[in-house]
Formats: sequence, C-alpha cells, structure tokens
Amino acid sequence: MDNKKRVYTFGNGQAEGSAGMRNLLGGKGANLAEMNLLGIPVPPGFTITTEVCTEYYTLGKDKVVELLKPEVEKAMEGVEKLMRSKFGDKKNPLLVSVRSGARASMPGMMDTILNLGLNDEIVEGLAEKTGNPRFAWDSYRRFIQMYGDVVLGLKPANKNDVDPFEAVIEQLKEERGVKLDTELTVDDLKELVKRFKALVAERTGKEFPLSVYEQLWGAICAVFDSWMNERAIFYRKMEGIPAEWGTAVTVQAMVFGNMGNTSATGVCFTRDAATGEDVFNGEYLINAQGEDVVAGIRTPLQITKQGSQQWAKLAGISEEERKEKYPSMEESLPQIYKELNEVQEKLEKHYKDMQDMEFTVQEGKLWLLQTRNAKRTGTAMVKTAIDMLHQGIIDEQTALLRVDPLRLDELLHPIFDKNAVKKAKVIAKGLAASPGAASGKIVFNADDAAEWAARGEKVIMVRIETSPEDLAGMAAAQGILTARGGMTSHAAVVARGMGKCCVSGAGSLKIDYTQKTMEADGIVLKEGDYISLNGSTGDVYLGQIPTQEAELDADFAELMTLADKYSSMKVRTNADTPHDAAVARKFGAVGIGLCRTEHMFFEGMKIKAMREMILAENEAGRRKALEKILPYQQADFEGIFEVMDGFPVTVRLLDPPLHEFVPHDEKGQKEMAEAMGLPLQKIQQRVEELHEQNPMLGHRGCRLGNTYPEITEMQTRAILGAALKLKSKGIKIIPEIMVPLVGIKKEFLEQERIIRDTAEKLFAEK
Amino acid sequence: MIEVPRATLIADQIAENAEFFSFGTNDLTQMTFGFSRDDIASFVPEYIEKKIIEKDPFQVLDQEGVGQLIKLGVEKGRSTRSDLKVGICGEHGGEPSSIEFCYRVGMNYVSCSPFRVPIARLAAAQAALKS
Repeated sequence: MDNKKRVYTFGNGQAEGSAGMRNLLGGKGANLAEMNLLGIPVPPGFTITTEVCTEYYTLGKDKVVELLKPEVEKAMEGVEKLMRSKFGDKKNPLLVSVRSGARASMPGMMDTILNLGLNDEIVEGLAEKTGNPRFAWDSYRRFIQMYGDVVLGLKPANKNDVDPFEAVIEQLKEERGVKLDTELTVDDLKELVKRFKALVAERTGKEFPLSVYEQLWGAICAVFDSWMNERAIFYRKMEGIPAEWGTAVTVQAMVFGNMGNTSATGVCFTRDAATGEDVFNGEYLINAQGEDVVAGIRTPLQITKQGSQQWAKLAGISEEERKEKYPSMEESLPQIYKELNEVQEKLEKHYKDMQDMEFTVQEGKLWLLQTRNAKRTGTAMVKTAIDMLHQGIIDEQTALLRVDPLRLDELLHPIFDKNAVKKAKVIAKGLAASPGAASGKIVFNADDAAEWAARGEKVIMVRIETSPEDLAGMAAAQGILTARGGMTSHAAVVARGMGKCCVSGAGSLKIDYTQKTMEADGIVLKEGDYISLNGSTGDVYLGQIPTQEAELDADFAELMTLADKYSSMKVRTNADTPHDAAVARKFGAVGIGLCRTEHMFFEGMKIKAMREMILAENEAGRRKALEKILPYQQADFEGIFEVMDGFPVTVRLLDPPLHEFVPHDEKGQKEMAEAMGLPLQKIQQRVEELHEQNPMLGHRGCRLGNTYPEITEMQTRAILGAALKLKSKGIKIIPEIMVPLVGIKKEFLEQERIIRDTAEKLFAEK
Repeated sequence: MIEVPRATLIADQIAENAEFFSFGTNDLTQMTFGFSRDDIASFVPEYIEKKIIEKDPFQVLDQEGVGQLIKLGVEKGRSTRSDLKVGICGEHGGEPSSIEFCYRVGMNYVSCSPFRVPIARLAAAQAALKS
C-alpha cells in the first residue's frame, strides 16, 4: 500500500484542504474546506481527490476501492463523531450526500446522490429518531429513486418518455385518487418504496443494495463514471476542459430542509447573475430538499422582501396575497435571513467575486452546502467587474481579467426593434432568466432543436422544464422558453452560462409534447410556428420581430477604455464598405487591416465591366473595360477613406480567381451573352477555360496581378486617386496597398514596380 | 500579405522591399495543413471527435505548426527591416487565444470583423496583462 493521501476531511471549523487546492479537490471540495476555515457553518465530510478519478480510469474500479477503503472509513468515523450519529446505525443513523466536483464548475452535468445510508431497517430508526415517519419514508423513496437513476441507470427511454419512477408514483396516485405527492400517506410512501425496489430488481436483475457501504462505493464509482458520460464530454468540449482534469468526489453529512416548517432549502447569489446589479437575491422553499428548488417542480419563493415584491408585481399578485401565500425568507424566517445575509457578505468579500451559494435550514439551523463563483451573463460580467472596481474590491487588472472577451458578444448583439416590439402581441410572461432577443420556430425537444438548426432554421426550444440532456438542443437554439422553474432552474443557469436568451417559468403555457403544441393566451401554436422571446423582460411574443443594434452602456465604455490603457497591440478591422468601417469605428477600431476589393466588383454596373474585362481577347480590350471600372472603384475607396479619417487603411489587390466573377448557370450565361452582344457559345467557352481543378491554389492573388498587370495598375490608380481627392478636402488618409499571395520574391518585386510606377505617373498628372 | 508558407521562409528577402506584413492566416492555415477550408466539414469534426486534432485550426490558430511559421516570418522580416509593421487579418484576428499568440510574437496589430473589435481589444489587454 502506498502513502499517497487520497482523502481530505473538513468539518467543525477545520479542514485539511483549502481554496488553493482546487485542482486536487475540485471547486466544490476546495470551497467546502475554505468555508470551514472561514467559520461558516458547513456540514462535515470529506473529499476524494481528482487524482483518484484518473487512477479509476487507469487502475480500474476494484483496485481504486481497495486503495481508498482505509482512508474513507477513517474519514467517515470523523464525520460520525461530529454529527453524533453512525453511518449504517439502526437507531441513530448518519446519512450522507455524494457529489461530484471538477476544477471548473459544471452545472447540472454530474450527478448527485442524497440521503445515502438508508435501508429497510434504518428508515424505521430514522422515523423514530425524528418522530417524523413521513419525512423518513419520503427520504428513503427519494434515495431509491435518485440512486436508481444515477447509479443503476433507470432513466426515461427517450425525450417524450416519463421517468420510470415518476410513472410508478403517478400510478399510485391514480389508485389512491389523489393529485399531489403531498397527499400520499406514510403507508403510501412505504408502498412506493416496495414498488421502487421491485422496479429496480426487474430492470437491473439485482436487488437494491441494502448494505450502506455497498451503497457508498456504488455512488462514488458512479461519480467517476459520470465524468465520461455523454453530457459531461459535450460540456467539456464546449468549454474546452481537458478530460485529464478528472472530478473529485465529496461525501458530506446530510442536513435536511424537509423536516417541517422551520426547515428550508435554497440557492442565492451575492449579486444579480443576469444583470450584474449589486443586490443580494435568491430563492428558497420551506420544507423541501435542494433538488426541489433547482429542478423547477415547485415554484420557489424569493429570499429578500424586495425581490419578492418585484416577483409578485411581475406575476400580478397583490401585496396581501404575496404576504399570505408567498412570503420572502426575510419575512418568514427573519433570524435565518439575517445570518444568511451576513454569510453572503463575508463570502463575497473573501472570494472577491460574485458567489452562487446553496444552503439548507434544518430545524432553525442554517447550513451552507456550497459556494462558487457565479456563472453570469456577459452583461453581468462587465457590470460586476466595473462595480467591484469602483467599490474598491478589485483592481483594474483584475477587472479586465474578469470578463471573458468572447462573452462581450452578448452585449453587442441586436435587441428587438423598438417600434416593432410595441406592435407585437405578448402571449405569455415568464422570468427574465437570461437576457437577449430571439425569434425562431418552436421546437419541443433537444433533438429537434439540433436537427432543425443544423439545416439552417432558427428555433426556439420550448420545454416544460429542461434537464442536462437538453444541453445540445439549448446550444443550437436561438432561445429557450420553459413553463416551469425559477431564476435558478437548470434552464436559467445554463442559458446564462451560454449567453443564450431564456425566459423561464412562464406558468400560463400549456405544453403538450406528444401533440407538439403549446397553448398561450388562448392561442394554440404548433411546432414550426414563430415566437419571439425577450430574455431581459420575460416577455413571450407571437411571431417574428425584427431586431436593431444594441445600445452600449457606460460600464462597457469604461471597460474598453481600461483595456486600451493596458494593451500595446492595436485593433483594426476587416471592412469592405463604409458601413462596416463605421460600425468598427464605433467599436473602437483604429484602422482597417483588410479591405477586400473583390466584393466591390459585384455591384451594379461594375460586374458588367468586370465580365467584359475577363472576356476581352487581349490587353487592349481589358484596359478598355478596366477604364470603365476605375471611377466606380475609386468612389468605393473614397467612401471608406472618409470614414477612416486619420486611420490607416490596408487595401488588398484583387485576390480571387476570375471564374468567381462569371455566371456558371445557363440562365446567367444567356443574360451575359445578351448584355454583351456575344454568342452564348463564346461565353460558355470562356467560362470553361477559367475552370480550375484547384482554384484555391490556382490563378489568384498576385498571380493575377502579374499576368494581368493592368488590373494592379487600375486598382493602384483607384486607391491613390481616392486618397488624393480626399486629401484635397482636408481628410487625413493613410493608404496601404497589400499584395496578396506572395510566395516568390520576384513576384512581389514585379507588383511593387507596377504600383510605384503607376503612383509616380498619377502624382505627375495631378 | 503573407499567406503562402514559402513566404514565411523567405520573409527576410520580402521585407527588404515590403514595408509591412499582414498574415493571412486563413490561407496560411489552409496551405500549411493542406486542408481545403471549403472541404473540412467531411473530416475535421471527426478528427476532433477522435482527438487527432484538438480544435478546428480555422477557428483557433494552430500555434504549434502555423504559429511557428508566423513566428519565423516575423523574426526573419524584422532581421532585414527592424521597424517592419506586422499584423494579422485572418479570422483568427478576433479569437482571444490567437490574439494572445499574436501579442507574444510581437505583432503591431490584429484585424478582425467589426463586431469582434471589442472582443479583440479586451483580449489584447488580457494578453498584455498575462505576460
């Protein structure tokens, strides 16, 4: 046996790990250790390192279990001592959760198992200990359900299928003539457990494991296995996370949010993850387990009173009804709220970044289960970075490094056209889960979303609620709409992570997967019908709405100014038109690095003259045609130079092969023959001649300029002619002429000579 | 414009006359890999799947191979013209990891499509901060 340390314990204000050990303990494990060291109330437990995950895939399951066993059993004893209970004990049982945790947070990707350590005898002990048989049996049936799904693989067969365990529950509810889970009696729950176990035996050919350690090892190995599941691989590919990182496994004492009305569970953020606004916010549920909040089955309540009032206003609920039925945690559990508020302030101050926290209240005692840097939208990245800079929490360099450059894309993206949106019909309202504007055709599952998007359709994925299986579809869709779930539901969290527009919890929608229809505001829409979503307001509109350019705010401008302060490399743009050049100037480009000239030949009269040149028999004919093109080409450059007043413009001489300028279909060829007064056959012959086996390696770039020097001459005249004209108007022009596809020195020298000679001639003329 | 691998090898000669270089990395990637950009759909996704290559080299600059040619081109070019201005104008000019590479090899500017300009400005600042 080697001496390598594979297990790190934490609990009661002490920990073997710390926040700095993220690579070894995963984000979750490292943060749990750190929270202990900060004196934040965290249930005790231990973390198995990410190195063990790698060993699992090299040494195999049996060997790894053997290596881990002594350390895990010892760590479990430590937890037992702190919790004053015993894992597997019939009278005073300790239950644990088993969770995954990689270096980078992977929301919803890996599987969690709660309530582990229950069996037919222990459940009776738990019922007696808590005096709450309903809680004990409900925990047991949830455990079998979760373990069956995650470890034993009892999942729905396809997208339109229901969860096999949920089918059993529905069946029993029907037999008992009840509608809600909560209406089931303790005896009903016992019956459920019996049926669940029968289902497991039938589907897997094995009895449900009743030894608590067998359950534990099954769960630990399932976490390692899930590192290589399809969802995890897909997410890693999208985020560029290497498979070698591995996941850690954290085993932690269970605390229960479902032990009555002084118990609760929730998720909260130190700031608004959608807008970046500096307000503490979150959602909770009284008498519930963690999964109830994120799974979006019950609509959760707001933590702060302010958040609750905003929510009620949006949902059209009166203040009296809100207070009565949907009170905030600040109102219903004021003492706990105060404690939680202190914890969130402490955590953000400590980590110097927006935190996303999970907590449970067990019979009036607050426990933090997790904290991590919150996933946020591009808008929120910019706002929190600039706000924290102003608040003195971080410095300028850190603020710049906090924003993922690619996520700025979301801020630059179009919003709905203001006038069009006024006329559009709102058919439903949900939560503004992830900002943006999206229009598209309705699809009802992830496979269809991916398939339709692959053939170029814009789609909105509409689901009752989403699960990790929907990831690929969410990535392919323009936007996501769900009927259930709050701001912390799977759909909302993932959409914000992707920067995708999302409206969640639009409760008035009636979605029918089998018929592929959705009913909203009395209108029945089917698959393929257009809807539009505003992820910044939560509005759902009928039909398509045109979009307009986004307005950039002061925070964005400040971030950009800050960026320029610290960088030495300039940013220019690729632009072929005055419009593109103007857009790029607005975004801060300090020049054009590539102005392609080929597109200019396609417009209006130019294509005809261009074709004349290509069809000309000799140089004289080509020159005549080029003479016609010159004024148009010069005008193109004038427009661009004017916009780029004071900044350099690099113009690339004609690059693509000539065949790109002639029509390849007979209709086009006929039109051209008529326009040019030539027989069709002649046109076809020339098109045939221009055909190349490998056009990319063919007659293009400076090879054109060297075989048809008159093209380079004309373009030089156009560029410099434009420059001279604007210079005389007092505009500062800095033209740069670029010779494409140089590979041989002489081919460059030849082009240089033509350009310089032409320039001299032109300057002499003027 | 430097898009043909041969040009990077004789960059010192070209810089005797050329006053600036702009790396056209779409073509340079195409010719260095021998991948036709218009025909990659049939095999690049599978190559990524099978981990033969990590990323699509037309989206993220291949620093290992194409990057060596760029580095060589910049060094050789500046060996005969010390104040040679150097930039990039391929798709990579708007991709953060490629921008960081451009910064490291000493480019004067990157050029990208208009909507990528803010991304490139921030990425250029981050490249400077990370070095």
